[in-house]
Amino acid sequence: MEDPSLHDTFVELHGARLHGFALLVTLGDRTLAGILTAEALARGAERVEQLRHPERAAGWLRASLTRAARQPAWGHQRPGEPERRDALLKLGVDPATYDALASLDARSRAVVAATVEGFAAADVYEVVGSDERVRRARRDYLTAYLAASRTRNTRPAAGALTARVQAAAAPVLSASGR
Amino acid sequence: MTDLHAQLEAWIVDGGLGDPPREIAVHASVCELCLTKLGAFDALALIDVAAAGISPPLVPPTRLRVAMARARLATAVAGTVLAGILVVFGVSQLVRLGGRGAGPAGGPEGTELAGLARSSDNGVDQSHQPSADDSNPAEAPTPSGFETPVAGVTPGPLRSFAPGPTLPPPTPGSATAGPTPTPASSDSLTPSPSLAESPSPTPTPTSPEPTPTPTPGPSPSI
Repeated sequence: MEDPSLHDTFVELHGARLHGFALLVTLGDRTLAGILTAEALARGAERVEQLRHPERAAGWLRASLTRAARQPAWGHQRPGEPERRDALLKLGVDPATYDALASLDARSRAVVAATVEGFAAADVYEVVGSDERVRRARRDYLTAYLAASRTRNTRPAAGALTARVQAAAAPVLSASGR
Repeated sequence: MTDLHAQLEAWIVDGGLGDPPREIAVHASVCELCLTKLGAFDALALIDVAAAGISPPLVPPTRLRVAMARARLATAVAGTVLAGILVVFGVSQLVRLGGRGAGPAGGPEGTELAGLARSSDNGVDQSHQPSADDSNPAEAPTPSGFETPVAGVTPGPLRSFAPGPTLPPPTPGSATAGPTPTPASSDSLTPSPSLAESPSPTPTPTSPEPTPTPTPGPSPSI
């Protein structure tokens, strides 16, 4: 790292979102998320010259963080569930989504987190290294979310995806008078 | 109908790119299950990862590595201590056996060998049954059977079982030299029969006698 300002810019550009990504991957473990974020940023800063492209850097950082998150963290006090829920609630994670995330492993949560961030398919692929893993993680999340919403007897609010589907169906539905 | 559920799920799992086929969209618009599936990914859109902010003074990046290094160090120390205990145990067993053989009843080598073979807890190969022939070093089986388990640990006392013709006459210095020093008293407790039985008319302690025959397998000092 020759240029300290480049390093600072790198951290400033990626730090906050990477930290949020880490919170999702660690299921609201603030301490571990902080450690993983700092480590990933430090590793990224070492090769900042190769990671000048922001999207490339973002994918690389998340892949690096995901790999590290799957390693055991000895000597680390894990938080209880209320602390985890609280940490993720601040990001906007609703209870059913938390339950679904809790049933996934770190790599699958990384896929969900990358989806949250709106990463392109190729970038999500880079995070976990396999298309099949991406599909499996999304399917697992879907299954877990359905189970959680049944248990909680809640129904998610319609969002952009639902609106797109309804918009695609609208011509047919209006023609049939439904 | 089930096929439409699966097709919508496949579309979602593949990233929900583009618009879904109209048939699937029509079905999903009126299907509670499919609306919940769509809602599962809509719920993700409500999450704002940037809301976490830059983490408060981050823990030093090396903390995880330090923890891992500590765990590795603890494992290495435990392994070393265990190995040390085993070595000490083995040495103590050998010293005890050596002391027993050199006791008041200690006499010919055959007695010592019998004592070794009878010992049930010494970890020594007991397949070799002592016989009267053992008293003759020249005809005795190779000592490697006895020395192999302890090779490199305490060569001192067991050298006394070495057959004379193929080994140079041991000297007090060479008897105690080795990776694990033996107490000097062990020499006095276990007089070397090879010294007594194969006296050299011209003792040359520093230069071994040239022997045409090869030396026995594993040397005690290895």
